[in-house]
Amino acid sequence: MAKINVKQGDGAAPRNLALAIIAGQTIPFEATIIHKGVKPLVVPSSGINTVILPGEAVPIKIKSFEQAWLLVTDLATLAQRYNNAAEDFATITVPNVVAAATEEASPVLVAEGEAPADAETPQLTKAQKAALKAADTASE
Amino acid sequence: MTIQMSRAVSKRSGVQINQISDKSEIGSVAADYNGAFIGRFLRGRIDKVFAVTREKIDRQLGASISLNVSALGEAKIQVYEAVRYGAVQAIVSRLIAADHVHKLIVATAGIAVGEGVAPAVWATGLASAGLPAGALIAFKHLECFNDGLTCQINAVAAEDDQAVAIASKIITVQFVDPASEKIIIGPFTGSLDPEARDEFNNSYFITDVIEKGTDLLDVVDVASGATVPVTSPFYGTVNGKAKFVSATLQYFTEGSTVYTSSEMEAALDRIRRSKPNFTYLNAGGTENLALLALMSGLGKEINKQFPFDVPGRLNPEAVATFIQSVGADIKTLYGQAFWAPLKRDNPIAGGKAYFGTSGQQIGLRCARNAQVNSQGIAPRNRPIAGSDYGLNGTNITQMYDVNDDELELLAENQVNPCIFKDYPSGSKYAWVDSLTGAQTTGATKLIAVAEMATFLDDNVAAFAQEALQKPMAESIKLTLRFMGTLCKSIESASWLNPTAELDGAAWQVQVSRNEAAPYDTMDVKYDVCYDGTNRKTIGQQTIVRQS
Repeated sequence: MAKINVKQGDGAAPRNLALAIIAGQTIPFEATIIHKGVKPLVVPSSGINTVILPGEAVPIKIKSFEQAWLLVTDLATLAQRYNNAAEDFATITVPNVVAAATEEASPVLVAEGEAPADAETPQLTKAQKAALKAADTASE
Repeated sequence: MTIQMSRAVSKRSGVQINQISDKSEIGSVAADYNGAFIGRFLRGRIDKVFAVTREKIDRQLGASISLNVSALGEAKIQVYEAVRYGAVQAIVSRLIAADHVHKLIVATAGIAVGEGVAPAVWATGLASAGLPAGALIAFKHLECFNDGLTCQINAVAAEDDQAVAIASKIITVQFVDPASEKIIIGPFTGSLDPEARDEFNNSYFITDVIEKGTDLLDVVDVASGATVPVTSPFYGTVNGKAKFVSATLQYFTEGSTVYTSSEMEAALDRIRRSKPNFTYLNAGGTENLALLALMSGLGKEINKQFPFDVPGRLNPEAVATFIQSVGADIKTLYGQAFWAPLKRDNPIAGGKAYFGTSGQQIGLRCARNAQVNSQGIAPRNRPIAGSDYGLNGTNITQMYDVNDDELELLAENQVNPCIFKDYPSGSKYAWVDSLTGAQTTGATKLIAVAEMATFLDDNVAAFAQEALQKPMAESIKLTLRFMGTLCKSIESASWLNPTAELDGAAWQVQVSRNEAAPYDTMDVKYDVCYDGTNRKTIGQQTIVRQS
């Protein structure tokens, strides 16, 4: 499993994180979402119609690139709303993709069990960009 | 007939009558019947807002998208319901991503250069590339149709003095909606020669003719010395009718349908710069938290109420959390949340789905605002809620039954449910509350008060604009008179309630020079006591014993 962290401020330019969420996946696919908010949250783009409790991993279905984009902007907005500066305010865990893609995606995708990576804007390799672009096109 | 007066008499003997001076103006804001909407649409200009009417909604916003295909299709439903139920027009700001591509529409004479293949008469081209070789004229269609535009051109036949056909400089262009196949722009006939004049000596240059006739089309460039040869496929007539060459061009690519903060800000800024005025704001049923927060901030900034929808598929607990998530900007008298746990028929694209009621709220409010009394005041003290107003729609099904505790939770979070209600006068799906987002026990928690207070402020601001740059004493006199008339009018419409705070009056106004800056600043202070809305009725029956 690979993890994508979303933090306050990521909503301004969500493309790379949204691409990282869907990279290598066959849409639709299942992922889980977990957040470190103090209060329960509603994340409209998750498709979950109830509140998501802090620390509770909730399965969601990601159906498009657009949905992944909105997940990033919603979670970043919520981090901003509650003034939560955690680098991993929310984590979206997606299934592992083919080994090569996962290894190359290391700036944003962190293997389960490892310490959460700094959720900085990822720097994608040329090959990875091509793979993500293909996924992007397919989802649109 | 003898004219008995002059406008100016200096030294001669005569009668000077000055221009009629109208000082009877009582001021008005002609925006009570409009709402401003933001959303994704398949058509619509992207440089500024545009007004959409009920008759032209498909022509202006494009085809309707089923909610099964995209949730973004709800924006058009909200616009439709607003204009369907009372808004005279919707002021629309189209969300658009930065990666859109807007190409020029280029017309050529369709004549091969040398032995090459004849170019297409109509083509698209990038503005940065300039006018291609052989081109006559380049246009930019500002309505940005995702589904393209059908372009048609004809050259009016010309003859020399020996009646021999020669190359023509006069063209006719017209543009057809590819969906309805009706001409929507043009026809415009003009010359490719910038020096050309018509019989009234007005410019006959095609650029001037088009600019005079429409603001939906820009003529970007006309080739220098351009003419249409006799051999052109659109030269002259055939069977007595003008010979047009027609092509449907895909000149606009929308790009992404997800938006960055700056793209949403840009759409908001277009609303902020809107020339047509409006009274309400609407976010097109969006669930985007960032956009809702931005819109509610805008409402507060520009004194416009912002009815918005909380997703109907959420349960009450999630609704409360959703509202808290949007942030502080929504917690004002401007933000007004509606929650409808209802599925109903999509009125424009078919299918049954969850979608919001805020557009219909705006439409019904605009219809109510049109019902002015003899003094021009609408019953804004009457919220669109309760037994007088039912939700319009077909095949409505309530998907969640709300209990009293949940209604308490919704009211605590200033959310107005739209649910089935069995009134003695008849059952209906009704908005059962009318709360603004203001977290107060004061009057501004009521939508009716928000309606009246924003109206009053808009009117005062509009008149104050008129009073600017006039002599101070005159400004004070005019403003005082205006305020007196306005407050009496709204009192006559039962908006106000006398109060001991104002010594038994319902309003008081004070207009004076500012003490600190008496030469250039005027203070207008107005205290009003609004009538409220009966949200809660307490009855008590007491049974007494028989004597």
